[in-house]
Amino acid sequence: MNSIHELAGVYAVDALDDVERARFERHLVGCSECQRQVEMMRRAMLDEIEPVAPSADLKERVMTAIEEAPQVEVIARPTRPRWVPVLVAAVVALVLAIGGLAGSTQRRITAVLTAADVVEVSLDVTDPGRGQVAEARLAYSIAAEGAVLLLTGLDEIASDRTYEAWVIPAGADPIPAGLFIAGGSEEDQVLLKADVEAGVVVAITEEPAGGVDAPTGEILVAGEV
Amino acid sequence: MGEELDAVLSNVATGDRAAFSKLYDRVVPVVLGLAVRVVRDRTIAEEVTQEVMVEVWRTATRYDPSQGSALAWVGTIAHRRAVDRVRSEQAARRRAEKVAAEGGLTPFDSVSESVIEGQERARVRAGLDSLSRSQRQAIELAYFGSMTYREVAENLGLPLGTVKTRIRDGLLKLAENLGVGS
Repeated sequence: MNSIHELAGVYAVDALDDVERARFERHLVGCSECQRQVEMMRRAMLDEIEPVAPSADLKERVMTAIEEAPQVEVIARPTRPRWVPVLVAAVVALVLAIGGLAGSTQRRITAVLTAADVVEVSLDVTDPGRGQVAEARLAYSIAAEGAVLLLTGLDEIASDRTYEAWVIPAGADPIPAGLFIAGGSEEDQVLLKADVEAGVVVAITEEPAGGVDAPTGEILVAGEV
Repeated sequence: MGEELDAVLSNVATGDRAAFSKLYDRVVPVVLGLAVRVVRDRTIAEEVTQEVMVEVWRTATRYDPSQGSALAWVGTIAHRRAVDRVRSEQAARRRAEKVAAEGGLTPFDSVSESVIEGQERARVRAGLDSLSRSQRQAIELAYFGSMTYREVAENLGLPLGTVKTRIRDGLLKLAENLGVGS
């Protein structure tokens, strides 16, 4: 038993590291039971705190300090993503040279997932009838200048094949956004190697190992940002 | 009362300084009490409290009452700030010295009492006392001791999964005993 729900307690007492915390928070967005538990646990711990009277001048210092501290503007949440059918022309195969970036890629993924302004949207998942689909979400941060595709439940892929991510701007050809092999872990994290902006479609196909520069495989996952 | 505080925080989000002043009076004793328990130094705890309240002011716009109570929201910011402060290297070193001087990690009460004077001593924690010793220990090391659950596991010589479960089960029992429900 290694369910993500079990992290509710250690999350509530802030005992997760940054990456685990970011991962649990992505889960928390969609899990009302964990939200309820975390709230209860936090209130229970606060009930254990003996209140302490502040120094007389603390309030004045705080009231002065807020005059210099503008309130943050809330970035409007993206409209609910809807599935967009994508027609893809089969084109030439061309090997993408990606590699040797594992270290910096992981650092950039972490930077995006732990950014204060990270926004996450669900991508609707198509079912090609092969059961080869995943729950997909997209996390992006303007501050960290990156977007990470988060996939759960993607099947392991044959050794002569690869998953390929695509960013498809409205009315334009798909842009290759990275190759990856599902790790068999709870969640695959894919740093998108193409710019993501509002209105683009993010998609995944299965392709021959080495990847292609335009999708030939069936769209397994697609969603509009 | 809880709902009223939620409304006050929602007003703070509109830039209402009077609402912020009201919120301050209501939450600061708890924020400071929490900070004192975690950082174990009155002066640093007041600095942390100031940072917390400025962050509350700045980010009140992100507070969503449907996601939880105002008190838990402020408490979360306070706990994270206090823990961050302790985890920073310098504080960690000071704490290690104190811990070493006291000869162990367990006696939180005596540590608090030696550092924090007078009325600020930890009260008898009736709620935590209702838990099993092992649950209470794991929760206190994490929440008041600023440890990640990996550090708690290392410290107690237990598997990660055991620590995770103890903290979760203990917190749920605590919430149940206190009738903190929703």
